[in-house]
Amino acid sequence: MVALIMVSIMALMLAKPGYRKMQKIKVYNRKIASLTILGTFAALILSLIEPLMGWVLVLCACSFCITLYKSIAYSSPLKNSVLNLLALLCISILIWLAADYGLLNTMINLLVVACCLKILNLHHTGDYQMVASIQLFLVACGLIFHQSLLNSLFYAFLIILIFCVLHAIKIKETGLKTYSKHTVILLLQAIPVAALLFFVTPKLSPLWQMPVNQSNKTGLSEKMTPGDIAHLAKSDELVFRAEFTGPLPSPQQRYWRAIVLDEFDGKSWSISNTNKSFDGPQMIEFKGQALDYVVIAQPTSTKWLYSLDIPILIQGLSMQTILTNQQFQLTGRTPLYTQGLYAVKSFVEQPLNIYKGYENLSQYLQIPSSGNPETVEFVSENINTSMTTQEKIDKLKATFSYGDFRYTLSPPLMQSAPIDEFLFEKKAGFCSHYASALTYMLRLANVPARIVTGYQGGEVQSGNVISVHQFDAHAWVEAWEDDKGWMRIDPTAIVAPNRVLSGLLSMVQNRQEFRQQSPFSLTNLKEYAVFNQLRLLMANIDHTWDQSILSYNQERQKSLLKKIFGNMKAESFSYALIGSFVIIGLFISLLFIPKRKAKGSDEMEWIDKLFQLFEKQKLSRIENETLQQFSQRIQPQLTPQASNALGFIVKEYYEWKYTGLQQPAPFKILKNRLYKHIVMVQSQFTNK
Amino acid sequence: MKSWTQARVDRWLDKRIPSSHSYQLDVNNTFILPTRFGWAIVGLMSCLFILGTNYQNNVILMFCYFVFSLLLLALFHSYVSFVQFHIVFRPVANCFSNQYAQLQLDLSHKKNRSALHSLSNIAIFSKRYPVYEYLEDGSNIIAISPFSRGLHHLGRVSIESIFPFGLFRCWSHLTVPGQFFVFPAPIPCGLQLRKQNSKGNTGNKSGVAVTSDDLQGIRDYRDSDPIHHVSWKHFAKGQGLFSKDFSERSAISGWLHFSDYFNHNVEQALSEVTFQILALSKQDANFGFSIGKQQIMPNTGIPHQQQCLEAIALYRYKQHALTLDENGNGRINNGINNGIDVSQTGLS
Amino acid sequence: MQKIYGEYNNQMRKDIESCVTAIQQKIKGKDEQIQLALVCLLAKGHLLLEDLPGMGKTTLSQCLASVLSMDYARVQFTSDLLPADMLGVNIYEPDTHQFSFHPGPIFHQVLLADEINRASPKTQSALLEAMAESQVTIDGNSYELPMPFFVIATQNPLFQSGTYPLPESQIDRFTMKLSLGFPNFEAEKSMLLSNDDRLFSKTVIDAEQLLDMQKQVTNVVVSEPVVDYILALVNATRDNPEYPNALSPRASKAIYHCAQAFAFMHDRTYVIPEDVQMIFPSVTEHRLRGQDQYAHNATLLSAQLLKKVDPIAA
Repeated sequence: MVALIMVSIMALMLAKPGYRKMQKIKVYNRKIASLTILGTFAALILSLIEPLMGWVLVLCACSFCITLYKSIAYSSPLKNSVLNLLALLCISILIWLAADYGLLNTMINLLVVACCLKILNLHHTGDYQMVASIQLFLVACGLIFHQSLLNSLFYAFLIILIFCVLHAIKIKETGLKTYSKHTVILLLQAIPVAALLFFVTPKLSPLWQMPVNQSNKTGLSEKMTPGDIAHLAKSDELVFRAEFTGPLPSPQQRYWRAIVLDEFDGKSWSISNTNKSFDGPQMIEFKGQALDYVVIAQPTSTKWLYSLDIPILIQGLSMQTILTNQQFQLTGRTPLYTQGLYAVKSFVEQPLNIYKGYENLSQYLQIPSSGNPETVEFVSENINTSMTTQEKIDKLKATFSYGDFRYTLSPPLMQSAPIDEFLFEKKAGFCSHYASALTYMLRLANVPARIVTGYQGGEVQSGNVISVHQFDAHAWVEAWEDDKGWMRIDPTAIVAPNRVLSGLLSMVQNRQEFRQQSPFSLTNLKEYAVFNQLRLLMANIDHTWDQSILSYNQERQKSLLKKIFGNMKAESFSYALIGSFVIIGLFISLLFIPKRKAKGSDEMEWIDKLFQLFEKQKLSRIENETLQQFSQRIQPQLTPQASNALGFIVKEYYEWKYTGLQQPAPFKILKNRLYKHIVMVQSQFTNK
Repeated sequence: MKSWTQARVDRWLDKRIPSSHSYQLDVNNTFILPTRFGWAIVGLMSCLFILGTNYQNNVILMFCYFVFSLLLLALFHSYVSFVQFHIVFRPVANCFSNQYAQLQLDLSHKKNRSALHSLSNIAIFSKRYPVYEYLEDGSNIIAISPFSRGLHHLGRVSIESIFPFGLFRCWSHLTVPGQFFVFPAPIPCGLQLRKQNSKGNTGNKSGVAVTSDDLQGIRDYRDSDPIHHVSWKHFAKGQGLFSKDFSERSAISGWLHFSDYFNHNVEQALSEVTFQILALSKQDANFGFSIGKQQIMPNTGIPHQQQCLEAIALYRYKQHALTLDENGNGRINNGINNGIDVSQTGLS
Repeated sequence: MQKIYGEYNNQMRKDIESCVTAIQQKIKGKDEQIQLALVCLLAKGHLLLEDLPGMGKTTLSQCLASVLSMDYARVQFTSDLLPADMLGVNIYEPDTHQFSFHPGPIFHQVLLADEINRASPKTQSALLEAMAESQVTIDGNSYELPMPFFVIATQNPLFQSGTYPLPESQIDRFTMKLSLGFPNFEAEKSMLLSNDDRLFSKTVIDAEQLLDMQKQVTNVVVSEPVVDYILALVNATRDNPEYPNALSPRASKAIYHCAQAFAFMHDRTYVIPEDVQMIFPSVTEHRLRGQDQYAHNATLLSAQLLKKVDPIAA
């Protein structure tokens, strides 16, 4: 809805051909201004390249080239009618495609198109201003997607540049240095007020649901084909940070659960449609050590959140509720499209058997009716029904211990019967291969089993923070044993124990592979101590940014204000807020309130009042008359008493004012003396 | 209706900003409102707030508050940078109807202004005349527009500044005091001059007489020189024939009658007479001028010329309206170059 | 003390009143100008009368001189008048074999410089020293002028032929410029009917008394608001393009003294803004106009100024 309104506004802005005459006026510092605006345009396009359509990009490129040429070699303006026609065409295409692309993307595309077309005709002040406002809006759009510290700084820099341009076009011709300096000064002046407002203004809950971008972000998906997670291993993007208040979990405990996959079709695993919710026990007693931590999750395209087993939600996201389900997962209602912060308590030592007896375990035995014959045969050979569950598990786990298996980030392709091929031919794979194979075998052996995807490990920062990146993505197996409940089995740990203990990159071979895949990642510099320090420092700063700015919400605001102002009721707080706004308003209005004439205050007031008295009777003073001249002029129109009184007033006043060489006697005495006479004059009026 | 409101506004303005030759911009005569762009930014700010709130995006919210505080700052700086200026209007010089009337004003500023505000750029414009000019510190000459013949005053002009970022517009409407004459554009024609003492239409119309008084120097004798100009002193010394050279000053005198030029087209005739007055003044002629019922006694010099020209400017002129002669613009523009030449020679 | 002073003052005022009436008998319908001329005299200023020939300029100055019983000399200024004709010359005395100074007509208490703008600028400026410093320097010797010394100059309007306009410096030295103007119908009729002879010899006060009065005038109180008002008026002309010739400090001094004299004449021991307003046009108009006395239209610059400056707020 909003987007539609925006669309129409933008369309109107673009199509409107008329400017006021005033805005056609001279533009100063034209060349530098147009080049700068072109630079910010290019930077914005690059930062927003994801949601842009192909043809829009082409349009951008053309527009960029033309404008670049135009700003270097000045040429005549293009015809507005042609541009408007083009704009209309583009808008109609965008609206036509809007359904497929989603409103947010359409809006961004529209803004970019508007900017593209407008930038072609940078001639008048109004053109610059319009382009600048569109670009500012695009900055806001960019901030929807990217909010990390670096990105924010990047956008802040763009904002500075845009305001530089706005400043430059309307000031006297000076050097680049002068006005950029002054712009920065002006903007810096705004920052304290902005910061104050940011921390003080009440945080509102979302007013309504906003369109979400449909970008395919990297991350865990709800359907896993063995080999899938390998592509995540190539990304060093941050997934979340967990800040622990107490002790850190040991490396073996750092299994961050995200998604549980339980349906297998022979090739890939997915979430079954069967209803997994059931009535749990009324009271659950947790035993063992509990870990308290806060997770700051980066935006993802899924609604799954991360936690250690078994999570109890302490405080949810500000904007939506988080659900805990019986698979020990945390989920949001909708995908997390901005950073989210939630606090969790995890009982890592509690066995996952709390729902014993409530759960329908049969669904975890589902296997495809056909496929992977070798594996079926292998399992039936090795397992017999008399074996206990634990024995079955041990037996099947042993397959990987002795089977000459290899852990690799670039597994070979396994097409027709992936598990057969993996187990008996290639014997090389990624965690998902191992997990998939083991789960399948367990199910064949009639042990309820499921795959859990999530993240394993993470990098410890500044003592109590664990950062988890995409390359920490992992998949492991959970099997049901009647006594212990769900048992975590990590077949990858058997093959590559270091993977679990010290992370993916601990293995030299993996490191090389990783480097090949993402040559520019900072993580590559891990070997060099200095760079690693630097990298960790930056990560720390980033974390502080996330903590203090991005995750600043109603709760935090309250606690911050509590810290500063002590305990306060919500009402008194809102009063204080209104008060501070009023103070700001008053301060500004003070500037504009006309100052009273300071001179001769008491006397002047008296004289003014006297003249006002007569003015009410349509006897106004003209052309700076003196009091005497005035009284003589109006005398015929007064009653004799009034005129006598006025005469006396004039006489007394003159004597008071003009006989003394220096300071006359205090005016108050005279005022009191004349009060009677003024009343007299006044009464004469009213009698009339 | 519109004119009524306009009149109300004008009256209010007259009361609020009384006419003066010098204006210090201050609270009493300054208006300030967001520009169109300013409103757009206010709109952007509200959009940012909605975006930031709905996406729970603190960076966008921060951006929104930043824009808000920037707007407040811009308001402040806009005002402060505007009231630093002091404007003094010089009397508008008389001009010819083919010339642009030139408004002269001096712009000065407070001495203790900050470097930031020194970048402020203020412009002058008018609703009535197609003028938009930026002002410089010190003396400014602004060509307003050509006027028709007569006595005019410029009325209100406006000055404005959109100094920081163009978010707010500070403006003021100032009255340019004083009146000025607009003389007809001179059109060359033949001279028709009546003798100084002749009454009526009979008599010699070109009263040209050569009087020689000031000795300028000695030059070679020419055959045409009168005999009493010969420098006998030099001749007696045997240096040959020389002639005393007298400056031929104030050769022309007589009466210029407007009726002599009048044939159907009043304006044409007035233009021609204007040309003659300029030409005669340039030759330092002692001439009188008669137009309508008005007679100007014979005299010389710039004040006399001025007096004659003013009489022409006011001839059959009713000070009814101070509107632009829009139809006349084209014609007037064509004659500009020619007119400036004549006026320069005439007035200098 | 106050009372004695008041009575003393009262006597003076009566004297002045009788001066005015005496002159009024000769020059009819010009009360204001007569008053102002006397004000100028009391303020120790010099007077410039400007009008067309035959308006009674000379008569007024004659009357003034005779009423005040001062010795009086009239110099008719012409284009060939030399400074020495006016100031006097050193003449070689064959008897004593020495140069002796023969004072010119300037060594009178009242000097009527008739048609001053007909004289050459050289002669005009010879008056400068005399008017400003009440002394004359000839061949290195300075000669004091008699006290009181009062120059009444008359001039024809500038557009008349054969005139040399007075330079600004000289104009500024005249405290007041008055213009008599045509008399009204009644006044002119009574003038024609009364067949008075030209000579006028009624003496009212003597020079001694005049000096005394001049001294008393300086005692008139000018309060701070009035001084502020005068300064506001003067300052309004400075730095203002409408007034090409701004008022000099000498002008403000002249306003000050004339206002005192005017208040004195109206039996007040203090000056009120109205006094300033009354004398203001005649004191400042010629200074404001300067060289181009006819450049502007009929409205007086000084009158505009009075309307512009608020006497109460100042």
